Amino acid sequence: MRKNKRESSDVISIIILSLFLVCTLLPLFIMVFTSFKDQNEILMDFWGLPERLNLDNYITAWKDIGGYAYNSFKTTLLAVSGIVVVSVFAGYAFSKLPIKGKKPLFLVVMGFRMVPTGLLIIPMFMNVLSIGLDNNHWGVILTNIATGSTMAVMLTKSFFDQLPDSLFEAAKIDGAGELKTLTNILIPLSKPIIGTVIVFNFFTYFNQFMWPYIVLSDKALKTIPIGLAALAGENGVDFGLQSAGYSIVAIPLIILFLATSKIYVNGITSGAVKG
Amino acid sequence: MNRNKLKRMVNYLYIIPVFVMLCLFVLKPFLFAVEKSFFRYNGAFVNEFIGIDNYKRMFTDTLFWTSMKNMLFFALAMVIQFAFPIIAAELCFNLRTKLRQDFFRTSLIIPMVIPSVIIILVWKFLYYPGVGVISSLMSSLGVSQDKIPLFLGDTSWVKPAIAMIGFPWIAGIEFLLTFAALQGLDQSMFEASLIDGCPKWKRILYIDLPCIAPQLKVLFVLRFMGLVQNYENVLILTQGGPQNSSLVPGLYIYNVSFVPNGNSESLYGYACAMAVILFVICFAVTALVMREKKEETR
Repeated sequence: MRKNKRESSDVISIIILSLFLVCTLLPLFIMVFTSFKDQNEILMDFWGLPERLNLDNYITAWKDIGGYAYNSFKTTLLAVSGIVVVSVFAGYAFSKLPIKGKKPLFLVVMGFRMVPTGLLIIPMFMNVLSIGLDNNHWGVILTNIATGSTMAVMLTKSFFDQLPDSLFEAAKIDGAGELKTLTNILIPLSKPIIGTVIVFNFFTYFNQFMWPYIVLSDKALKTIPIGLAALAGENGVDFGLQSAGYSIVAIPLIILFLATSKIYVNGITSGAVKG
Repeated sequence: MNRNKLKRMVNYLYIIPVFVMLCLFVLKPFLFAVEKSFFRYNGAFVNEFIGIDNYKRMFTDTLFWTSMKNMLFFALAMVIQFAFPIIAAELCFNLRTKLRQDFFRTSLIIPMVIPSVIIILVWKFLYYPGVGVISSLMSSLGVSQDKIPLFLGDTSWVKPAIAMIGFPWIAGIEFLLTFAALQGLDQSMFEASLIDGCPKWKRILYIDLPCIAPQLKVLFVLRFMGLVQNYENVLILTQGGPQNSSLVPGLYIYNVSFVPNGNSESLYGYACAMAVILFVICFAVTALVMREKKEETR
């Protein structure tokens, strides 16, 4: 009896969550659905099924945005690598090393999370301009390493907090130097959190719009999200072409997410419990 | 002795990179913005100290006040939006098998991993007058063509239309972190409430939510800050129009510093002053929300 009651409350939850899910994903389904249609099909009969699996839109869209892929991968991967290096070292030190005043120093780093960098975008642009990195991928990358490292340090620190101190002390007693502790103990142990930091920041910076939009002015340097906005701007009501452009970008990202969702979801949820 | 000291210095090497990066690329522009808010400055040769004139200017700038009013609308909408990820996290957390939990926890956040530009542009297509999904749906339901609003082109519809984007607003860090907070609670409480015959909704209202209130407050603050600094949706959809009815402060700051309005003078210093005021608002909201938290735990 009781079991049945609990099962029925699960059914209600599942129905509500499924409704949420349908609403969440509906725009994406419309996007994919529209991407196979030509202009006439969209205007005449929007809700009808595509007449055939028409890939013309995809070919045109790829010609337009394919060139941005290199820029996107370059800026994203370099920023992510930087964030990983900076945050693993800092997180380890904040958690395990005897450093004078490390608590207030850690709070200072966390305080930077509270700076609304979106409003600072113009001064930040003036900043990269003053060091000659405007219209340069490094202007995008270095600033993103700085802004991305705060959340990453929080994740890595709380990860290392969960590891026993004795692990690192034992290595030192055995005569392992700092460097050896680092390569033989720290890096292998922190694989899960490194994975989370990589995956989370990859999606964040691959999808970033405002900052690269402002820093990069040469068309040859721009990234995919900016290319998509331009595609929409130049092709007014050609929704088939636009949707194909969005789908080319969105579908691989969604597949990548589904493949890495354990690392993404578990890492964020376990590391942040205390935050 | 000397060696020990050296060792302690070496430890600092681990945390120096993060501070160097933050100082060079976040703190420096921040201080620069505060400084320039007291200057008449166009980014180049016009650079003159004018005291608090930039701040005074805000009081009489009707566009600034329009943008603040619009932000207030979006902030009120945010309070409603904020409930959805929490409801979803509770429902998901109470599912009885891990498989079901994992399914919804993963699928509900899919929009998080694709460029927000895509979500915004797809919604623009949904709203498109005449051929867009919503207006063609309405006309096929028998609503006459002239009664269908223009959504993004209508001064009274544009703000609700923008706030609706992303419905049901679950795909975000709030959903994941609320779920995590629930997971972090002492699970024996749930068993105790079950044995006492406490209905689930009562447990959620009187046990779950008060227990995760501290985390919810942090999430609320972060979401509010996200709202204040995010204007890419307005920039892409309407550029603040029609007739500035969707102009938000972030976009206004962007406009006055990059696009000199009509005259040749770039109001860069003025933009910095507005940014400083918005920082103050953010910090005030943070302090307000966090202070309540202290009182409650006493």
